[in-house]
Amino acid sequence: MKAPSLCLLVILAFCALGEGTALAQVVPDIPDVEITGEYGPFLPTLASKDGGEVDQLISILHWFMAVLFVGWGIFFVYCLVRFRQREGHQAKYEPIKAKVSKYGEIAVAGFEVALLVGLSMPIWASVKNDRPTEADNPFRVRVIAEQFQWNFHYPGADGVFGKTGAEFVDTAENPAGIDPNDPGGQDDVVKGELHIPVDRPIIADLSSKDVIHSFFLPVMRVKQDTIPGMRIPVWFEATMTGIFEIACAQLCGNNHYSMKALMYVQSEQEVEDWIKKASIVEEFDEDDLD
Amino acid sequence: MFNSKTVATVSMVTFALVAMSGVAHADANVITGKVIFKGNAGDYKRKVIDTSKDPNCKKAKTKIGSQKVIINKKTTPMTLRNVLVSIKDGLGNKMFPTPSEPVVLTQFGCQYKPHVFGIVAGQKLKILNGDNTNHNIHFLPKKNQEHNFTQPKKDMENGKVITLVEEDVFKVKCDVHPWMGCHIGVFKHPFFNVTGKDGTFTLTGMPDGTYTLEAWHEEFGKQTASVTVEGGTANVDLTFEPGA
Repeated sequence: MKAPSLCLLVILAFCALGEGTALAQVVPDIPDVEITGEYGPFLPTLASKDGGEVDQLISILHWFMAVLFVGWGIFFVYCLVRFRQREGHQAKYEPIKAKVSKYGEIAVAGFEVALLVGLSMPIWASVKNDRPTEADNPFRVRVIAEQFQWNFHYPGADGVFGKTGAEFVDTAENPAGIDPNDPGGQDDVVKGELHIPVDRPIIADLSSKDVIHSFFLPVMRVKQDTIPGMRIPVWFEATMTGIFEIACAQLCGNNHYSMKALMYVQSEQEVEDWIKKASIVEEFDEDDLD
Repeated sequence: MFNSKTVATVSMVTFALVAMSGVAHADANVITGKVIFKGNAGDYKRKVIDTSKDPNCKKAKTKIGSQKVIINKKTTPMTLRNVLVSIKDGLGNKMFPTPSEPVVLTQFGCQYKPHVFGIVAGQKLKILNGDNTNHNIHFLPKKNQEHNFTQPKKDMENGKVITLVEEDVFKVKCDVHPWMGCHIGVFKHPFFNVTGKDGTFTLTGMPDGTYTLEAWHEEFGKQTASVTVEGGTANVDLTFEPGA
């Protein structure tokens, strides 16, 4: 078999091997929790309304990359064979000055720029500009990142987020720094789990208490940096219920790997019930095991 | 086997050597007392800590409570737990032997146990991981050497010997579980104690003298009291009154 054919075969074999293969240990070992969906070497389960466009973009770019890889690979192997050292041939050290190769290189570069800019910019513009409005009745949650934990701040039954301030932050009892004297914050809930309703737009306002983190919801195709001093909104809409993983996608310190959380996509009623239950401040009974 | 003259000579030499070394004898004196809380206990309700970030924590201990302010409401007057009481002044330049037994700090249910404790300068500190999860122990001392290391598996203990040499009270936190924290007090003498569930403390073995006791609490700061003990037991109470 000739070298270029072999090269192509190897690439196709890798593609076939990876397609649909679930890796058991991609999701962390969490007791009593079964993560929904398939997690393989390629894209995980899609649970988002708009994530398909991201998948399409990733797919197109990868196919083009495969074409370029194979094309350049064939050319490389051709050069190795064609210009190998052999008797009667003297090496030339001057570059080729033919116009064909020059225009060819410019054309390839232009094509790649068109691919990246032309395909990704409309999707990025959509992500940034087509945010759900109040008429869409979005579910709002604040996401506060800290080394090495995600905190999710829900407004509670009144729908109003309490005032927050750095002076109120207590890592154990008040991780979001809610002003204890603000009436709007009395029923607020801050937990380490994200509970959101299915089939309803979600707006998550991201912020960070310390360093740059990245809020990563693989099944929603959402990945956005959280930057100290900024509040950055992201939006998405879940299309299936289940328990999914949240990760930090920005190296944020020595325990970055452990910065995970769980996202529960549930029915409206289930989310409402959970928030109601969670808003009751549980007092630690002195008779509890201490 | 030995005549009385030999015994007397050996005793005198031993006494002289001990006196020269400056190491004090353990005495039978005891200082006891309680740490009183004056104020509205309702302002300091203990909350259940949300440990959902790491389900392995809940697996070890279903519920943990905040430990910053723990008031014992069952006593009259109300008393305060987790107060580090120690002799601040009055010991002069006396030196005391360093205990050979290590102090043990355990991580269980994603909580440090004990939450506040003292250690003699030079005494070994053993740190254990009782949880089936990763902990990162991070010392935040003001005067002593900083330590920052992980214990990723259950039943691990620190391989490197940890000793603290300077008098200091500082926090230790876990970099993996932000709610985890404990406090260590380092002393040049062994006369310290932490108030328990009943808010009482006991210091034993100090020489006769008049001492200044210091009570340290992580939320309410410091209080001092003077006490004299001579061949017996002395009692002294310290009071924290936030906002007073």
